[in-house]
Amino acid sequence: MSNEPMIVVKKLRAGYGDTLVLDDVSLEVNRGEIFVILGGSGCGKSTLLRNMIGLDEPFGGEVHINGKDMLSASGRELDEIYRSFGVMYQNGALWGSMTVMENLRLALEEFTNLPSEAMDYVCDMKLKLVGLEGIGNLMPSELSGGMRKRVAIARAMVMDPELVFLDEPSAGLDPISSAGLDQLILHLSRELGITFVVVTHELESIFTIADEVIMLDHRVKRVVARGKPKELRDRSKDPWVRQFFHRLASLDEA
Amino acid sequence: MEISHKDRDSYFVVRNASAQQLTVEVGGRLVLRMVDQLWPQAKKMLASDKSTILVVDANNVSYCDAAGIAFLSWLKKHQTSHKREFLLLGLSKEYTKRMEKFEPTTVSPQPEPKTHAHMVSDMGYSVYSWWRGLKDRIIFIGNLTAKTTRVLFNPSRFRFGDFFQVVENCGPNAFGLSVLIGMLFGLILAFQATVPMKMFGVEIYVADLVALSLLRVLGSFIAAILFCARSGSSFAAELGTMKLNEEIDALTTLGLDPMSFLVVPRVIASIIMVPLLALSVMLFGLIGAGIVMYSLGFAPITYFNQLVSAVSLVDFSSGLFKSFIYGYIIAAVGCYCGMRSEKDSAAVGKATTAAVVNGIVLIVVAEGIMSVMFYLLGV
Repeated sequence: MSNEPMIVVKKLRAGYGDTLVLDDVSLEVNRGEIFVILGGSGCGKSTLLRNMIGLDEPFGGEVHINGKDMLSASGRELDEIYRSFGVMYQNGALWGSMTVMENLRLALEEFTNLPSEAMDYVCDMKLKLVGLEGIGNLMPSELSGGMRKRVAIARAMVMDPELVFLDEPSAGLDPISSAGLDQLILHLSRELGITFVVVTHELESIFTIADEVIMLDHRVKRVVARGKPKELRDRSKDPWVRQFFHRLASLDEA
Repeated sequence: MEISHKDRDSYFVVRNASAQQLTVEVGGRLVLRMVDQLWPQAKKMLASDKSTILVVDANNVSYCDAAGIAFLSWLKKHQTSHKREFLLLGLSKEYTKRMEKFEPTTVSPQPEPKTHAHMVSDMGYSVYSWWRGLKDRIIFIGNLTAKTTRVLFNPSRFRFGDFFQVVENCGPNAFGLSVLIGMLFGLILAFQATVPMKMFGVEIYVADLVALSLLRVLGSFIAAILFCARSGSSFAAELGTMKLNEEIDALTTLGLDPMSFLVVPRVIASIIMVPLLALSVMLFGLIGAGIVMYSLGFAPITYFNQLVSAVSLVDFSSGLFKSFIYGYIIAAVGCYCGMRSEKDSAAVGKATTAAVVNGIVLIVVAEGIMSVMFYLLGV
C-alpha cells in the first residue's frame, strides 16, 4: 500500500446554479483514517461530499481519488473510479423492489463472474460484518431505520472498496443504534483498513470515531478548522469552533 | 492441474492428489479481482473431486481482503457440508482470526420458489380481495361525493390557488396536444371516408359522417383518452409519491382531510377541463375534415352548410355530456390509485399503470352504457 493520500481535494469551488456554497476548499484524506466532515446545517457538507464522489460537477478545483483525477475522467475510467469506493446515502437508498440479498448482490452480479452460491456467501459475510446475519430475504420496507443503514453500509462494502463514504450515518437513530453504528465503523476501519469519509454533525460520534476532522462554515464557505476533535474542542482559537464542540447556543458562553 | 490468474498475482495450484487427500496451494494477493477468477474454477474442481481430505496450503498468501477470506471460508464450508475434512495450513494469525469472525453462521434462507398455488384458496382469495376492493371503492366514491358537495355549498374554504394550478397543468397545457390530435383525426377520418363515398358519388356526405361521429362519440372519447394518459397518470404518480414521502400523513395529522385537499380540486378541475378539451378536439377535427373537403373541391360554405344540416344541438350536447362523466371517472380513478399506492417506488409505478388502465377501461364501459341509454331515450 502506498503512502500517498487516498483523497486529495484542491481549491474546490462548488454550488448549485448561481449560488456558491463552497469557495476554495482543500483537503487530504490519508489511507486508513476515519475522516469526518462537519459543520452546521447548510454549510455545504453534503455538497462537498457530492462533489467528491462525482455526483455534481464543481465550478472549479481538483478532486483526486486514489491518485486518479475524478474530474477529467470520463466513460470507462470514471466507472473504474466509481467502483473503487462505496457510498452509503443518508436514508440508505436501498432499492425498494429488491430484497436485501438482491440489493447486495447487484454489484457482484454485474461486475464479477462468481458462482451464484459464492455471491450469496460473500453477501452473508457482509451482513454478518454489519451484525445482521440471515436477513437476506427481507425487503427494505421490513427493516428498521438502523437496520437499513447497516444494510446500506454492507452494500457499500460488497466490492471490498478501500474507501467508503458515509452520509450522516447516525442521523435519525436512537443513541444505542447510533453508538452501535459508531462501533461498527471503527471496527471496519481497524479490522479491514478501510478509509472512511463521514459527513455528520453528531458530536458524540465525532469524538468516538474521528481520526481527523474538518469543519466547514457557511459564512466563509471554506474550511475553518482541521485537526483531532478533542484538540479542536479544547484548543481552537476560533470561538465558533469551540461553541460547536461544546454544543452551546450562543457565542457568549464559549 | 493449475489454476492461476493471468498476471500471476495469485494462484491456486494442485500440489498432490491421491484418493484420500487433495493438497492445493493458494498464494499471492487474494483480493476480489483475483477471487473472481479463482472461485468458479475451484468450485468446478471440488465438484469433480472425490478425496476425503482437502489440505489448503496458504503459506504464501501475502494479502487477503474480505472476498479472499470469504473464499477460504467457503472452501471450509463446502468441505464440512459434504462431510469431508478440511485443513488450512500457514494462514497468518490475523487472517485466521478474521476468518473465524466473519464466517456466516446463519445463512439467509433461499427465497421460497413460487409454488403452484391451490386453485381453491387462490379463487377464494381473489374473490375476497375483489370484494374488499369494491367496498373500498364504494367508500371512496361516497366520501368524494360528500366532500365535493361540501365544497360546492361552502366554496369559501376551497383553496382556489391550488385548484387553478391543477387546472393549468391539465387543461391549457394539454390544449396543443388536443388540437394536434383532433386535427389529424379529422383529416384521417375524412380522407378514409372519401374513398367509399366516392364510389357512390356522394363525397359531400363525408361531412355528415365526420360531424356525427366526432360530435356524438369520438370528440369526447379522444379527449378522455388523452386526458387519462396525460393527467390521470400524473394524479396517480403525484399522490403516490406524496404518500411515499408521508406528505399525505402530514396533511392528515394537521387535521386536513387529504380527500378535500388533494382529490376534490383534481376531480373538479377534470370535470371542467375534459369537456373543454373535447370541444377543441371536435372543433379542430371538423377543421381537419374541412381541409380534406376543400381539397376535394367543395367550397368552405358548402361544407359548413352540410355540417349544420347534418347535426343537431342534441347530438352535440349528448357528446359533451359524456365528457363531464369521463372527467369525473378519470380524476376519481387516478386519485384513488394514487391514494391507495403502497409505500415504495415500484408501487408508485404500479399505481400509475393501474390509473391509466382502469381509467381507459371505465371510459369505454361508460361510453357503452351511455350509448345504450341515449338510444333507449331516443336521443
